[in-house]
Amino acid sequence: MPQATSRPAAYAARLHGVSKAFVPRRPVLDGVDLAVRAGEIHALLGENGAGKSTLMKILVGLLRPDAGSISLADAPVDLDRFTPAEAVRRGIGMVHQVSALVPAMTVVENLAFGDARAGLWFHPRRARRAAERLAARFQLEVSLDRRVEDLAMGERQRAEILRALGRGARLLILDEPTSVLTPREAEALFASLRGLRDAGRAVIFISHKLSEVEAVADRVTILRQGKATASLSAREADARELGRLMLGRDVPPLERPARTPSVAAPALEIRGLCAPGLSEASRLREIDLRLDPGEILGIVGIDGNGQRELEEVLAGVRRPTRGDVCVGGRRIAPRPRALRAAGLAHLSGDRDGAGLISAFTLAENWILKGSHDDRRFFRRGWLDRAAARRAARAAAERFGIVPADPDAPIASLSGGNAQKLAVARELDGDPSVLVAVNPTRGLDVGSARFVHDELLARRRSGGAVLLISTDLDEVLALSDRITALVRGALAAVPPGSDRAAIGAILLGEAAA
Amino acid sequence: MEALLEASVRLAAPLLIAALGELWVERSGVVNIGIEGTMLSGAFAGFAAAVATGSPAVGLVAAAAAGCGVGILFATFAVVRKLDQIVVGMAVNLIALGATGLGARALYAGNPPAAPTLAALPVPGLAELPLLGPALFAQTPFVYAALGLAVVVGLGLSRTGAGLRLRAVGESARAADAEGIAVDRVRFRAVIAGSALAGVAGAVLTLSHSDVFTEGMTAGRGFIALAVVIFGRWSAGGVVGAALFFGAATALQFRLQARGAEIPYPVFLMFPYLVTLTVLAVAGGRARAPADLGRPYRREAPAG
Repeated sequence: MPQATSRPAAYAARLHGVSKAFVPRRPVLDGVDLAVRAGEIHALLGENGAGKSTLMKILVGLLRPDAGSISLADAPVDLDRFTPAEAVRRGIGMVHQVSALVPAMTVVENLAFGDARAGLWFHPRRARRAAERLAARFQLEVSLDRRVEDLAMGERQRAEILRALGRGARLLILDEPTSVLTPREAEALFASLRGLRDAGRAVIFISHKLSEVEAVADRVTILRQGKATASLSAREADARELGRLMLGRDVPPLERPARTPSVAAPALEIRGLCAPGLSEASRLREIDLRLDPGEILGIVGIDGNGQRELEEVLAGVRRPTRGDVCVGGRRIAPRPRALRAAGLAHLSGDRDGAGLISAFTLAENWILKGSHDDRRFFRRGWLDRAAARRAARAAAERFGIVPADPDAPIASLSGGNAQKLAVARELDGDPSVLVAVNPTRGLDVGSARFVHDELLARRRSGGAVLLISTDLDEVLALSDRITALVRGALAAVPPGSDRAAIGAILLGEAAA
Repeated sequence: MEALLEASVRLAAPLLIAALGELWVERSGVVNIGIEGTMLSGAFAGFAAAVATGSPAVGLVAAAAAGCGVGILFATFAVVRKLDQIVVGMAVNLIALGATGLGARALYAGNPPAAPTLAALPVPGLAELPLLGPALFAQTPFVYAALGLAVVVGLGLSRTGAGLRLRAVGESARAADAEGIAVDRVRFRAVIAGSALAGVAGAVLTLSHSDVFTEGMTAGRGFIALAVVIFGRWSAGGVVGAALFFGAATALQFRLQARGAEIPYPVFLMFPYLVTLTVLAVAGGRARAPADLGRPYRREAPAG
């Protein structure tokens, strides 16, 4: 590998005064400065909507800023000619939040298809050897011959990092890379990133998780409402201070008062539940659980171990092969309307797919759940639009949803505000059981905090919450009891288990 | 039997050419249902040029050029302007139907002459082989070209850089864009190439299968080519098999029609289509289309 003879660049990227507005006079970015040194892991921290993604899209050539300048490796960039291809040529590699690999292709093919050096012919064996060399050089372990869709998330991410490096990336941008990873996978990722940094590559690490920034970053730049509010050495700040800089206010720790054991009938009881799975590992095997009123039961697990199947059974859209679901002591046929009528509400883990309809307005989404039988909004099949809009506006105001406009489509809301609407809708009608699946996935700190507060408020008022989540911290913070879902079966988690102990259970490594 | 095989391959040739073109287009993520009208345009242009010059070769070039023209029309709206591909395709079909009908009346006033056709070109020796000889080695150049094209498209998709990029665009336009591949350019070119082939496929009808042009003479063959791509599971080999299968169904239909005098002939005309539908319903279930098929690519809407 020939070495560049010139002096290495001091800064991998410098952005100065970058501004961007999609709507006139409402800037998403407002004069942002960002300086990333070579050989540095630089965290970009901010809430959803703070402008992180927009800033990065500018840096990778997908968007053109309205004002400002960029230099890469100490050389200025002509923004009029700055395309994604040019950004790749200048050494920028983006690892996307939603993987930008082609799922139906193998890792080798993915590494090959965008390679500018590829000639007329594609040689599978030669491409594979090149991929092998690359993986060995950067010590990233990836199954090269498998299709990307068959890889676990951590491995997909390594494949994508590998591809960026194969394009000669000097600056890697990772957009919320850990949101799809298990704790162990995240640790492995951090180790890889440190290795890259020590090899002189620069990394921009986008996140809203303060603990991760502390764990891996050398420097932090904080974005709030389109402005870079601070840029400091990661050693200078602790998580609490970073949180304050990011939100502009202090976030008090969650309080979960002790619970008095309930003597009432269980709010939800599942006995011997079996259901077919999307894969063999996610088939539900003999699920038994009991959830009392005023209790939060946390079910942790790694994606693909049956969470989705359990969610779907409780939503009534997956037919179990065996077993009973009882709500409030009564056996309920597991169909959507029967479950809902029995008082079971469902906060979907697939917010954009199964939860809300993004092209519908707030008001339309608000009344969707009750569209068969809710007399408040429907009379003999006719829709009472005024009542729907009133109800949606009231909910939006009560829950602080921005904009509180019943006619705004969900697509125009941020993820946090959309989730607030989903939470508000599910809690409307005072369900006795709330099934919440990854309720804060992809949300910023402020919105996540809102959701957590609402779940705890349910618990205080005697509601039962089944929290199915892959976020271990969330489950630990909220749950009265924790159980693990591993390969479609529940595995006991002893009270007082810490992260490491639970991680071992999730990986099926717990001592027998 | 020999005659039936020969007819199967002969009837499969235009389908195969059109379907291979459509395969290339669909692997780039575009559904061009305008292929029916494109074939019809090729059939007419090929016929008119061959009649005017007396040369079927010139007709062939004209057919390909007409296909390109229709392809540019489709791609301008469906790829560049990103209108709904189905709507644009239907519009192309109806425009082509009207334009070729108008052209035929204007030029020939309801009394078209016969076009010079491309003669069969038997391969000496091989054409006398029993059973498969006539089917594979005593055909017109169209048939040889169709079979050769299958190899070119198959290898092009799997073994060339352009094919790899094309497949990436069809499977995930976003991923391809992020890698610096110009998604719309790849798709535009694919549509032009596929449409040129559809034009040539149309010319087979007027310069080989018959020597006349009649209004709407493609009679749904373009749509069958679309079905052939699906039935062939978006692979070149599969498309060859599917086209031959449909060619055989059509050949059989002619044979049955010649025999069964009491049954009304439209029943036989429906036969190949019913067979295709049945096979698609049974075998097509597990086929997997390119993930971004039919979705115009726009860079994401602005978000935080």
